[in-house]
Amino acid sequence: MRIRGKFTKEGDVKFVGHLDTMRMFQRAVKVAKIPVAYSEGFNPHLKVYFAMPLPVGVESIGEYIEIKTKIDVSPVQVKETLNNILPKGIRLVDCFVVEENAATLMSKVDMALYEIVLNIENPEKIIKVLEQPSIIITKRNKKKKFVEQDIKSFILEYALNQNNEQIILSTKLKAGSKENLSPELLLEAIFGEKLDTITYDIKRIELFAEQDEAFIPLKNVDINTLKTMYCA
Amino acid sequence: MEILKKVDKPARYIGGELNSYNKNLDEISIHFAFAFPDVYEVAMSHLGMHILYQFLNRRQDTFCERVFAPWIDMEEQLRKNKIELFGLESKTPLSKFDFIGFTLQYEMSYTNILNMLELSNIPVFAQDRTNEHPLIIAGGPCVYNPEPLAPFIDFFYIGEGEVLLDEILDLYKQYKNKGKTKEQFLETILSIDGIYVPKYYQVTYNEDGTIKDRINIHEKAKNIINKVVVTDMDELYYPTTQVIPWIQSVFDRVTLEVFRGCLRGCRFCQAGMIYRPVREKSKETLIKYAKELIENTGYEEISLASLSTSDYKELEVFIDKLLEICSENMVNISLPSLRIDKFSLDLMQKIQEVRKSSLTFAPEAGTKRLRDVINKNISEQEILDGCKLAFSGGFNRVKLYFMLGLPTETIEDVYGIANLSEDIARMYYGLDKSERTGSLNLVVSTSCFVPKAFTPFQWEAQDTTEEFIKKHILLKNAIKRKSIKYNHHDAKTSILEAVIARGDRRVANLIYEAHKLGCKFDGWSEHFNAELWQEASRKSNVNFAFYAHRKRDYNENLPWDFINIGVRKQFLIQESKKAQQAVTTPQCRDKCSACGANRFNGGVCYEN
Repeated sequence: MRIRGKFTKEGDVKFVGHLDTMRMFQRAVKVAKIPVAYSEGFNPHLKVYFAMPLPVGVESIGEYIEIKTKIDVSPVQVKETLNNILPKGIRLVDCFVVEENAATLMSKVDMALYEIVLNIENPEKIIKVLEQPSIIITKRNKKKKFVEQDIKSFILEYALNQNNEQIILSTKLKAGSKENLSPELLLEAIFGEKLDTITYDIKRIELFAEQDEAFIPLKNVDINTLKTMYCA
Repeated sequence: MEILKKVDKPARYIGGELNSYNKNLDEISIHFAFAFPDVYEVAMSHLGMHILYQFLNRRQDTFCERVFAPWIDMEEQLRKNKIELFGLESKTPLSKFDFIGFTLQYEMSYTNILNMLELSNIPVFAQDRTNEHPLIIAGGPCVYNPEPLAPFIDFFYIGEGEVLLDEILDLYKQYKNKGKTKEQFLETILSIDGIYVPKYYQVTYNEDGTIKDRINIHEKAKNIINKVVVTDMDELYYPTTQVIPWIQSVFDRVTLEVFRGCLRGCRFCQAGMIYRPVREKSKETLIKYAKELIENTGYEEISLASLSTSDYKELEVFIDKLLEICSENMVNISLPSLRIDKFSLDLMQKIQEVRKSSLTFAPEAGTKRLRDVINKNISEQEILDGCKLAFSGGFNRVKLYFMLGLPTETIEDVYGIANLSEDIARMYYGLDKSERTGSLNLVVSTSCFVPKAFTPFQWEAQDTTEEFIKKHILLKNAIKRKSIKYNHHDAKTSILEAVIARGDRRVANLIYEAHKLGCKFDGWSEHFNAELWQEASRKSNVNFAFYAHRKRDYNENLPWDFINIGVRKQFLIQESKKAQQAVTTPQCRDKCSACGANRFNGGVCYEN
């Protein structure tokens, strides 16, 4: 059975890297005695998967995990037993069964919503850059060479809000294995070298899959409603 | 915490791992910081820390937090932002704790202790601290010569933590509730075995710099401090869980302690003497703990810890049973500290460690004569046979560990290392191709011998840097074969280690000056700064040659003579004399050598 869960990563645990978070979950799943499936082969590993790495230092209320179990289990119980074990700041908020033939969790991700709180007074610079017809950045490609890239089309939506002495930038960015823009790279594109002088906090709010020309939160795709209800 | 955005591996400083504790500070009476003076990944690999963390936190009235040495970048941020070093669990500044307990695992971590105190805004000298400051205490293997840290530590705990920590904490709670002073508490614990309060003693010196006398300046201060050990290993507390580090630690696995002590009696080895007598856990106890540990940690590997796991009495039966549990749970078994014989290799085949294809052995010396001197009773044939078995079992990577500068070592012994390695290589290529896998990869490593307190070699002179370097070059030139790689340990750190390991109270000044000059992480070659230590030596008037390169007389008062580890000095002298004649001593189970460890009324001494 394939069980997907949506989880949070808030507070100090945002400083735990992606691989370390994965290892922690693999141990927690075993401690929780979830009958998790193993891969075949000489070095069997747990069938526990994640949707998309979260950069170190970024919080989230929209992370996804998938656990493949050997036998059918109750997603509600998986959520509860894991929540009793998981470290502070990491909480499963929802668990559901997905179709056996669904594509991998990772391949589902097409877009991410971020909320970026910047300790600056004036949003002018942000608007100026984001309203340009093209936003060119230089980044290293896989061959470690610097290449220029226009990221304008990766920014699907953005909104600005002011709150005391902070500017809140909410933005939907292309995400996943095909086209991806990290929020840090966006900030670099906006502020350049000045970014070092600004303090900010980034939070991922949700991950989305593109279906029938619409973006749908991952918690609403691939669900096997019958099994989710039946096994609860 | 904003500064964590600016440091490498910030997860080192956040705490909150699986199986870690968090307690309400209003509901506890004793706030204890377990301090390991090295970086997170090293500290989290240390079994003693895991045991004592769980042991102390099993008490409702006590909250034990962890604190480790911040890495260089974090220290910079702490200092820049004027943030005090804090406990990982509650982020409380260290200066607000009741106790800070340092574990002394290696001498090269001592400057980190002073640095951690400084980062906590706690005066490093005990005499400068007030009742408002925490009690700074220390335990671990290096407390068997506590003197180089005497001015910095309020009291040392000599022996195994489980024995007396409860009693001490109970006493502390009473003292704290009644509002008594630190002084009154320290006076009270003077009567407890295993507790050494350095400020109640003074040391006088002869003109030649050796120790003349130790005077106790408090009527209750004992002349001899007896180490304390656990006698019933099956009744002993052992944690059924372990904190799972955020970052992959040096040893990323759950550890099961099989026994304490070692039967072998290698003459250079301090652990082999100070942890006597050998005390085993029964296989039933071990199986019980193995099950629970695997369940509670979710680790993929369980490691059996002891000084020489092949010496566990019922190893085969135990491993068979353990294998059943492990294969059910997809867990591997790892067996460090194996002797290299047929029995051990069969065992490794059985637990399928073979696929790691790398094997480590420690012959320690290059010739049989020198191995007899150090009482490492293994012949050349046994080493070759062991390697042969390993090769035909699928290994092609072998690591060999040796020591240079052992007492009575001659040039032949140094060449012996090259010859033995060559013999192994020749034997490998002499095997039929069907019996070996690819080309040989033999790594020969030499460390520099450091004489340690409470060993039969405690009176010996250490080689000088020049002598070590000469031997390094000699070996480098003697090992010609491409399939053999030669590594050696830096001589300068080993000499400093020897100075501190056999240091007296005056060596504290050296450590203090080095700390003031900015020495830290001295065990990390990229941070060790020999010039700064030379400067510290000049400033403190601590002459390295006096401590490292001087041969002592049996009659000399040694700085650690006031500690009783059970093993008598007379036994060490007898062993020292036998070493000079290259005469070996049988291991405890073959024949008791009456070392004195039977005074603890337990373990191998009473097996029959």
